[in-house]
Amino acid sequence: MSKNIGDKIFKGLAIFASLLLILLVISLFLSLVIYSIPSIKKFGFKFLIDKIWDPVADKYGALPAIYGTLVTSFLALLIAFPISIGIAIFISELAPIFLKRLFSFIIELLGAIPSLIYGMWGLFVLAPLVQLKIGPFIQKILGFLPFFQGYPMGVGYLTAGIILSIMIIPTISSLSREILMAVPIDQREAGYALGMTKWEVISKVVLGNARSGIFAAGILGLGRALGEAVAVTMVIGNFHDISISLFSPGVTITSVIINQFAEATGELKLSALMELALILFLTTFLIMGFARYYILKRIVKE
Amino acid sequence: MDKIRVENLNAWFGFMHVLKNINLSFKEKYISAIIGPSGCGKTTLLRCFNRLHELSPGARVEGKIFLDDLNIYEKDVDPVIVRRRIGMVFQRPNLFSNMTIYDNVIAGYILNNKRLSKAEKDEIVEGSLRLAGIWEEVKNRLREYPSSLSGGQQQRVCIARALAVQPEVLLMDEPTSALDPISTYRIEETIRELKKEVTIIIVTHNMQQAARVSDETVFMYLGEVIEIGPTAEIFTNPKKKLTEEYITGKFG
Repeated sequence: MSKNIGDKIFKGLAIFASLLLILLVISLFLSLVIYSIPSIKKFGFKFLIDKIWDPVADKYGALPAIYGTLVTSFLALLIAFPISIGIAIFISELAPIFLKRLFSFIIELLGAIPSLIYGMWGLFVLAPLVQLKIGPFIQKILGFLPFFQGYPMGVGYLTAGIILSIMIIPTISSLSREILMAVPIDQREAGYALGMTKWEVISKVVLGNARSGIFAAGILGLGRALGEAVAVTMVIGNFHDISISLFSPGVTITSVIINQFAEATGELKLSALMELALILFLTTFLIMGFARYYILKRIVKE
Repeated sequence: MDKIRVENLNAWFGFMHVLKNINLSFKEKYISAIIGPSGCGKTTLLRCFNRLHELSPGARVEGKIFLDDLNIYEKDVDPVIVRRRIGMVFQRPNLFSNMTIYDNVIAGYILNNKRLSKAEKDEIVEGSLRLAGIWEEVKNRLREYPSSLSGGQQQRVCIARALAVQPEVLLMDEPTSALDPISTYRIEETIRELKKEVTIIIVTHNMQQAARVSDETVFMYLGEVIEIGPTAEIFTNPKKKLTEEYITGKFG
């Protein structure tokens, strides 16, 4: 009897804890919506396409922030994705056991470094490097493209993209590694038995099998990049405009919020920042949800 | 004429000595069966013939295996070349799940970067599927994925895939152990048909199957070859007492 009660209490607690989590997410979302209402009422849809961010005139537009977030995140994905796949292939297919362990360990470590540290490194090491070496180098080769116009200032979209790419490599590569290692051995053996070389087995059989999972890993990395705040704020340059050139400074949703939240005195400004947060919340929520669902579906299938 | 000749072959998994001093030969265009109780090393032996054994972690092989006059364990022999001459069908159907039936059958060509015209490919696919006795069943489903086929159908497409690259030898590792009796019957029929085309070595722990399909039978026990001879003789008049005890079901 008493044992039965214990079971019930435990079950109740467990259910309560999980409900709490769901309530938390919902209340987070609702608070964001409620706080955003003044801004939504005032600016409406124009908020999303307006470039102006003028606290003096109390006029706010989110376009530069949305643009900056998308540009830096996709740039990060563009850089990080191939590198991560390379790392994952090396760990799961090529490395001897002790290197497998070593590299897996290093990747986990990289993922655990606080983003502030990446930001400091980005500001003091990477930014000068982009300004003096990487930027001019790219300009020499690809300077005719509109993406590489102007003088590299060090801070800007490119530097933020590179920092973000370093930060999402652990996410993408460790997930991809797991997905590659989950490709059944009999698929590989079928390849070898047909007279494929190791590279053919990896590229056609293993990657072919893991395609959708790796895609999902990339999306998860993208989600992380979208939401990253501190490091990006330190290297994005915080300049409220839109530029096609990756050398230009800009803003992201997160950098605007971080920089302006402390001095958000007016109700409308606070509300505009909240609406930015709401946009970010919805974007990452959808992207993460989509990727998780995708991965889950795959795991269930196997 | 011997197609495959094994000389003093030893194989290990880590410290486990799984094949002990094997000496054997297999005749060209014969069907040879390797029988024996579980764990006797028959599958390992089969996987030595196309150098698949060495891919397992901790696996090691010593000795010689001649394919015609080529010792496939000679230092400068590329296992990839060996595997293109010796095809294999596994215990469980292992079609590439991300490729269509058509692409699976032609996989050996695409992946080996041979350039073929559409007509040539079609011909190879049809011919191989016909050889494997599954053409009629899948001819209108070539663009479907393997998961839409039954296990027995998948296994016959596996046979077609192995045959498509025109191997000289076909290794079969208990190809029907995961299948129902009807599928098994049809695959055995296919095997007997294939004898005209290739040398077949089939591992099975189903003694009736060995008796039904093979010309020669090898009996293995605890990593050693106990007896080899014409199938009729092994099953009716074995020379070794151990063989007799096994085929009469005293152990297994």
